[in-house]
Amino acid sequence: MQRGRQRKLFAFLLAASLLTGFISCESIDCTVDNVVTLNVGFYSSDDGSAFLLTDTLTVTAAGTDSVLYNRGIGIATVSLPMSYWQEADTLLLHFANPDETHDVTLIVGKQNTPHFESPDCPTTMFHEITGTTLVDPTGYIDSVGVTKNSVRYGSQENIKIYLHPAD
Amino acid sequence: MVHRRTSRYICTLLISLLSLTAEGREKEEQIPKAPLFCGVAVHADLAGPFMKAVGSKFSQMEVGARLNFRDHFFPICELGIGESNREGRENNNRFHTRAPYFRVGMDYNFNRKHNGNRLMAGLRYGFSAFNYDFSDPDFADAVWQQTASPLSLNRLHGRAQWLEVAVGCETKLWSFIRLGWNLRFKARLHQHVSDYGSPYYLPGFGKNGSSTFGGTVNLIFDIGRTTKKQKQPKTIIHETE
Repeated sequence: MQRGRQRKLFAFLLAASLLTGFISCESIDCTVDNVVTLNVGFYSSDDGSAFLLTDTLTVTAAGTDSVLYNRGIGIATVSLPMSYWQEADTLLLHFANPDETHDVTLIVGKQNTPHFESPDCPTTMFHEITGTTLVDPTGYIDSVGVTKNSVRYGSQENIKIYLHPAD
Repeated sequence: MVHRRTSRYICTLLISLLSLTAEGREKEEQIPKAPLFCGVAVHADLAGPFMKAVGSKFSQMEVGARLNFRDHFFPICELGIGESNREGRENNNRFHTRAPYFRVGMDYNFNRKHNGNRLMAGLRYGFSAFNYDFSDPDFADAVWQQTASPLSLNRLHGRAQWLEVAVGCETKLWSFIRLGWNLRFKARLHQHVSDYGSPYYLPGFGKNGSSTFGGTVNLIFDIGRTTKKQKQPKTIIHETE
């Protein structure tokens, strides 16, 4: 009788300890694609097809010495980090080829919302684009359009830039 | 020929099934039925205080009450307070919540003998409405080189509903005191959370996700009428000379 009770108690304690051990197991599960960037695509103003840049593109953040994108050539898209707190980001786009350079300013208005996944994961900032303004003294760019206002994780295109194809 | 063989198999199967049912009925008749209402029990979860004592990332203080019908059906309700104080492993992010939760459901005892041991399976519906805080003291925009702005989001509101499937067992320790444990699979039905982010922990549910596992170790006190061991009828042996 006594032995039976001891066995029962042992089985109970074993089950309880397994249960506690099971509950205490934990893993970190942050989003793999956890970078929030403004995704810009280049298109031909003639037929709207994807446009591969023939000039070298460098993008800098106005008011800082940060280079957001450095010397890209033959590209059709570019991903740019946005500021956390500013209501509008001023992007300086510098197009260059051996003969000439073009400096274009793209101002992107936005609302910022902090976002977290878990205490283990880095906090990020989501954005909602409210509008764009293009300052292009040389007329290098034809037009700019917003395709997706919300800037979140992933590589979905947010802005389309239409360029004049080379003659 | 094939038809005859098949019908013979079917007949054999039916006869064996009938004999099994009859045997089961005989056994059932031998086990006396418990009264319709066998009493009330209250319980407290011992796993919650233990998890809090060892510094777990979340813990739940829980009590419950249940009715006992025929020693088989146990309508149950559980109330508790779930708490989580969680700091990021590789950063200084902090999550905090402390809120009540509520569960209601039914357990079924599979043990036909009324010997104090119970093998239980049950279903629960859980609900919690809560506030949660999140802070990141090092939140800074490194690219645009702006000064660090500590992020502190307080009193974000959330609600959650979930279902639990529980299996477990319990045994009589002494008189009206019982001890039991159960393992639970929890499936989240719905959650409403802040746009800033989901809570790390849902009170009463556990670590937030579409499903999770959990369990309790319960100290149970039977109140009022309790099922007693059925007295065995005395057997009279007639000695024959």
